[in-house]
Amino acid sequence: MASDAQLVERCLRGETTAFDTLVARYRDRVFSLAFRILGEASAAEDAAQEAWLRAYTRLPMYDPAQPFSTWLLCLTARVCLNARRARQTEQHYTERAAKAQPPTPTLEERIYERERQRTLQRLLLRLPVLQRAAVLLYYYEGLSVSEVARALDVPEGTVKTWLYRARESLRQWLQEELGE
Amino acid sequence: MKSACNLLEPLLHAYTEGWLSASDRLRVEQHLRECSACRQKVADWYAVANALRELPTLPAPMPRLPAPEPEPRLVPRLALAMCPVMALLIAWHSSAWRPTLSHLSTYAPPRIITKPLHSYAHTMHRWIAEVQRRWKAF
Ligand SMILES: [Zn+2]
Repeated sequence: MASDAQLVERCLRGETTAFDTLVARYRDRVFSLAFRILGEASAAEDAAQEAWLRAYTRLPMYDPAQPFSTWLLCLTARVCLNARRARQTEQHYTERAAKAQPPTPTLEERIYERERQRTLQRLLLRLPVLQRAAVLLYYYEGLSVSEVARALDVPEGTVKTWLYRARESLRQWLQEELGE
Repeated sequence: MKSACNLLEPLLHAYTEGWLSASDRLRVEQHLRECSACRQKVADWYAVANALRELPTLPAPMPRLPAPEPEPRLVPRLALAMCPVMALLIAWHSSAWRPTLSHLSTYAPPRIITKPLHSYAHTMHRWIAEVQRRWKAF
């Protein structure tokens, strides 16, 4: 199986099908991240679409020193943040997002697991959007603090503070919800 | 112990992420041995982090990529490619200037015959247009 770097190289040489392979490899991850940040399937679909277009047009600017997935997911996070900024009323949007359900959960997911994940997804949407993006890139996508800082264009110290605040907020909310 | 715990909280967080210096780590570990409340908090934070890591990947709907433009058919492509040859033949028959065979030998078959039009540059142009269209639509 070709590595991401090989596929990017082939794509830059004009082999457009190589890009399709990259899309197939990462479309679920791009969509999931967008959904977790935006909280709504249709908005996530638009953002994922935009992220792929942007990845394609900016492919010549991709630096192979960085993993392709990191580059792609950072780009996706930025697209989501821009999409949110473009929305007229944040309040209205957050309300809609809080009501929205994740699309088609797989059948084999256990009920308890699913409930917990839905609760977490709902609580994530209570976080300020930048904290949410930082938490998702760091914990969910496993990026480093410096990578998250570069993606969100803030100092590393800010990312660390956001992660701390977000995790503490989630801890408190989960405790309230699950009534420990 | 409440205020000591509050003061220590950011360090506690950094401890769970492995960001602390050796001396700070010792300080935190010392406190954790004495304080069950902070021990509980650390355990809860680990649980939150693990729950975030374990969020499932969701199946994405098929991306609606713009459909590729149809490539020109073979006949117009060949016709286009033969233009320079035709020009030379017309010149041969009509004008005072008679090209020789050596003129033809400098003629290389155009790349559109040998290479599909569906090149990266072409697709790129299409995608950029698509992005621009979307931004205008905003
Ligand atoms: Zn304590």
